[in-house]
Amino acid sequence: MIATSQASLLTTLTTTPLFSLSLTLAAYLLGIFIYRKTGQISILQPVVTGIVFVIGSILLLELDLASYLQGVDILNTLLGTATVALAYPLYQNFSMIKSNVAPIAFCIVVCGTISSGVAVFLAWSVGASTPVLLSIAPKSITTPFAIGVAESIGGYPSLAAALVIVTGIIVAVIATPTFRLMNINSPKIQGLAMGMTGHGIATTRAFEISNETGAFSALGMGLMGVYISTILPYIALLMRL
Amino acid sequence: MPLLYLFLLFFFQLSGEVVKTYLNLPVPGAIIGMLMLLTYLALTPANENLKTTCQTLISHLPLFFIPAGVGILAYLAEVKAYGLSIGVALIAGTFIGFVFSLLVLKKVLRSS
Repeated sequence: MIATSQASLLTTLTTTPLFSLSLTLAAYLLGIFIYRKTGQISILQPVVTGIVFVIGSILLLELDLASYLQGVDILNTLLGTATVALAYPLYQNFSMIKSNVAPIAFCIVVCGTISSGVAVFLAWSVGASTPVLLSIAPKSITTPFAIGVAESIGGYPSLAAALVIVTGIIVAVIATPTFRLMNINSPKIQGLAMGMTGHGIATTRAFEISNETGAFSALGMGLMGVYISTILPYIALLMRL
Repeated sequence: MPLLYLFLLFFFQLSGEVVKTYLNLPVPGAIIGMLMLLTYLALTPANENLKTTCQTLISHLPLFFIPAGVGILAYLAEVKAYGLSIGVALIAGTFIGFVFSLLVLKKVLRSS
């Protein structure tokens, strides 16, 4: 009797938004702590530790995933608010951005099409199903975009969101070694490439490199999001033919 | 982080959602809101408080991505079945896309 009431108390407690939010915040803070302690090893970014810690807790404590996701829904809203806030670094670097509009637009179209195409082709070649392919196509654009696009073209929205996160982490991890290897020092080129392929997560990493790199990353992310989410519904139509 | 400026950001985010819904645009409301804030910043004098509010939110972007990442749990069966091959495809695809973008950007932006 006592055991059952304790069990139900635990269930009631763990299904509250307060619990989900506390768990997520604790995981994130732990992530920041580890990241700083290890001297910013890029694979140990706070978002990686945070996700692993939360997933671990859910599996270990057998928490209900749906109620967890419902509880942290406010964080999705705040992701939108933080996206709005990216206007600030853009504004700070506006003059430099303005003088490069045409070449930047050209790169967005070419690189966006090729990157998305290559990823879908590789996934197709290892036998991924059509809905999975359609969830991979928007992998380089930030979650609010990707969820909407995946939904409209017939992919799985939450799988698309997760693949977006994984892609962002990959870009954040490979960025600096790749720059060193290819001898790329321009914050303009670094930032645009990071934002175009790795959206918000790579943008956070770009701000660690420099404010200018971060601003260009925010620009690349915004433009790529607009381009891919406009063009993908039409490409998906073609794919079905 | 003064609340007034947080409200201002919410206001642009909400306005972006309204514009998106009303004009039936494929662009997320937050991106439209970002463009609105950019216009606002260009038209008004510099404001330190607004800057601080924006920078605080941006510095915690990773926190806001955690729920989406945890969402992969809903696809545990798929991950177990195809996780490795899709993972390899994703890593290879992202790497190729990233290097290709760097090469194109280098070529195009150097010559401009």
